[in-house]
Amino acid sequence: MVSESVAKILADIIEADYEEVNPETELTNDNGIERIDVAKLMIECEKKYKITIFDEDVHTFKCVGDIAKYIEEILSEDAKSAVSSDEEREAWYYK
Amino acid sequence: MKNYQQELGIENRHLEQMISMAKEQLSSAKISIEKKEADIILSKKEMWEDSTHSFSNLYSFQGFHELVSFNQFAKPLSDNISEQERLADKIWSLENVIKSPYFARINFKFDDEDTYEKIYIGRTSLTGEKAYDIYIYDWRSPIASVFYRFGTGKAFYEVPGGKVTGEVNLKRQYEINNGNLEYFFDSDIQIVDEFLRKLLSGNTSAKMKTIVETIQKDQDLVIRDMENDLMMVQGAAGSGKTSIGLHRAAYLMYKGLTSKLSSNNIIIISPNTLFEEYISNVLPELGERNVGSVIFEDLFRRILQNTQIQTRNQLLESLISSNDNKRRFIMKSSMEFKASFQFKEILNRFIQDLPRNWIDFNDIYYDGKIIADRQLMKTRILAGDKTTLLGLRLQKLEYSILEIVHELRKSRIKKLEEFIAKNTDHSFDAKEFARLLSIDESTVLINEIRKFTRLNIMKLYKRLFHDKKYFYRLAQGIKLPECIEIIIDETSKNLKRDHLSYEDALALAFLNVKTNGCDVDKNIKQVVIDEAQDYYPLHFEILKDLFPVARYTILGDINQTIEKQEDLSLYDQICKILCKEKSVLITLDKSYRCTNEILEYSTKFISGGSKIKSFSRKGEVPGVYEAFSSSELTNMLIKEIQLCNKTGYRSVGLICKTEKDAIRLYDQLKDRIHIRLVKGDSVEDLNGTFIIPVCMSKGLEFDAVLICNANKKHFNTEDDKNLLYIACTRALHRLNLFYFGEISPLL
Repeated sequence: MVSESVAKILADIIEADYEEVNPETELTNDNGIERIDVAKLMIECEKKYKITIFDEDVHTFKCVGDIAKYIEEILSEDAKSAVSSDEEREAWYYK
Repeated sequence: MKNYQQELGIENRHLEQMISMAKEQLSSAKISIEKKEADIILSKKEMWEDSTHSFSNLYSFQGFHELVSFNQFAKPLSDNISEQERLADKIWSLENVIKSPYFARINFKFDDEDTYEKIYIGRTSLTGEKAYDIYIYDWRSPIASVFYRFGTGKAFYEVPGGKVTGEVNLKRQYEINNGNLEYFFDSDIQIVDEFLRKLLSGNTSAKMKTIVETIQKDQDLVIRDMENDLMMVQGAAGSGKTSIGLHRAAYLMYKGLTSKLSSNNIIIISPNTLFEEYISNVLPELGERNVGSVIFEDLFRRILQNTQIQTRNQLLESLISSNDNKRRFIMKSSMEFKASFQFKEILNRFIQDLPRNWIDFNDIYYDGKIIADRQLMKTRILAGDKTTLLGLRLQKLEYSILEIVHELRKSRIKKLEEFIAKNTDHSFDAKEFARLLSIDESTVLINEIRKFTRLNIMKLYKRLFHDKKYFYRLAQGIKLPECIEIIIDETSKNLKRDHLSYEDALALAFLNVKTNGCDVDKNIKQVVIDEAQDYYPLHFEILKDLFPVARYTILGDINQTIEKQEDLSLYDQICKILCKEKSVLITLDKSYRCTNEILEYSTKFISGGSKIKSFSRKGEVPGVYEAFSSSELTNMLIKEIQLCNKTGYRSVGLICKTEKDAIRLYDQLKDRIHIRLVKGDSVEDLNGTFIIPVCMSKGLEFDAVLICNANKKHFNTEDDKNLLYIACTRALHRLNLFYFGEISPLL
């Protein structure tokens, strides 16, 4: 699910058809993806998921799926801390 | 005899009753499982149609009510699935109950009661609709232990609350096949020898058999022991070590049902994958499935994440097949040394010394400022808590540096943006270009940091052997083998070619476990190790770190070593390394596999062999036959194999000293008779005629064994004696040795 969204964002950036980008798509020049496009993709993903992608981790992303996995990990960690935090849960009840 | 007929009638009626009850339960279980399956499909459908399933939002704050509703659908689904799995298990065991519901019965009178109760014992239990109506008891249940341990008369068994005492007035054993009672008989002693003898004289099946019907008293004590954290068994060839190990695993599982021990918490370490296949049949038959079984090399691969490792069998092959005595001596010394306490001490000193001499700390700069000073970092690591692994300490250091970087990053990116807007023609997408620059410089930065926060174990190990002076300095006060110079040179040469020998993989695994730790399942509660004599101190050191809280069952035979000589001190060593609170060593010296004659013949190859008793079963005296040409040798082998086949032996093993010999012989025979070659780990069952090298044959058994070629060239050293012992004790009924050339002086 995350990987589909990331693929869509990337397709928009490089102005390709949605079918052309999938989780296996590698982030290389051969696929029409410049390094600046990767930078743009990071900015857009951060906006969409309200997260921070650390720049020192970016070199480990070889394909779209890697980014999705990275984002999912952050999300699930956030969710874990959200559920375990009583204060937040109460805040939800008494909103 | 009249009595027997009368009893037979009663027993037959009882059997029918049990089977029809099991059948009833089976058909109702089958109906329930169908219903469950339908339920599962339905709940899946409901979940899909009735929930909003916007999964990406589930984690967000606003999505909490969606999470709740999603959960409402998911819970019954997962309940249904686990119920379905439980039913599938039940069906599987009921199907087995119908074929052979029980194998024994005792009449037991509890001390506070007047009448004797009939206790039927089977491989799994059979209960009525209410769980307290037990018709057949599992062989692992407490009361069943009476059957294995007592004759008629006073008896007792242990339960969680204490001891239950009573009296036995009947012990009866049944042979039930496919729902038919073939025969039964009563006994007042141990499991009747006649029954056992009949079972033993049968030919091997392709896989190992269960021995629940014939567990002997001393075996039973091992299987049911819950007292000791470390259970060691020294068992002669054919004493049933492996069977016992497997039955113990099954018993522990059964015991663990109450303490949440699931089958994944048991790991069996076996000598090769061939063996793994061989035993695979036993555990499901005993009632447990999916107990993890691995060979040691699998553990290496998992620790080192490297698949290019010499296997133990490859090492043994090159060792056994080498004719150069000096070379063999060096290989053996190298193996022995690198797996020894002494080398472990050197490695420990090396790890201690890593931060001082081998980790190149470097100043780290970010945004034009120094954010981590190399001297300070080194001091921090050296002063760090020594109980935390070095690799973890370094990782923490990495995090702390990155934390500083993350704090500074916002202002750094702002600076980059301003710079780009001012100095380039990208002023409209300055933000994106600034990000690109940041990614680039961060990549360089993280690589700089990881040069010293990530340990490259292989590189470090290479350095240890590259610098002889340093090696000797580390080894100060430690006894080194005579040929240490050669060992160091050879290792260095091997490592340069990136050739990872078995013993180096062992040392590397140790280094890795001691620096980076390892995430092999820490939940393992039980470790069963077979053929323990094959392992060295370092193996057990690694196991201790991998499975720190586990209980161990260790089975071995000091006489069945291949490349080394062992004595009982092996078990002291193991005990010292694993350092468990309670441990025990049990010796099983009764051999059930071979006939008297074969055992007698085999034991002359080992010292102290006379202590091994045989379970008296008669057979032919093993013969030694000489051929006058190599073609005559081939003819003799073929004739013997044909004779074995005619006699009805289902498995025939033609055992050679090395894999090379086995391949050569296979090429000579393959066109003339149907024969298979066991090489590497390629065979899945042992029905038929096989050529197999000695070291692969360990732990297996054949109806008839032919040993080829038993001449002086092949068998002449102390180590060769052990090989002969292993080869000979593979035979159940028939053993013959063939040679061409000068006869081996060991025969």
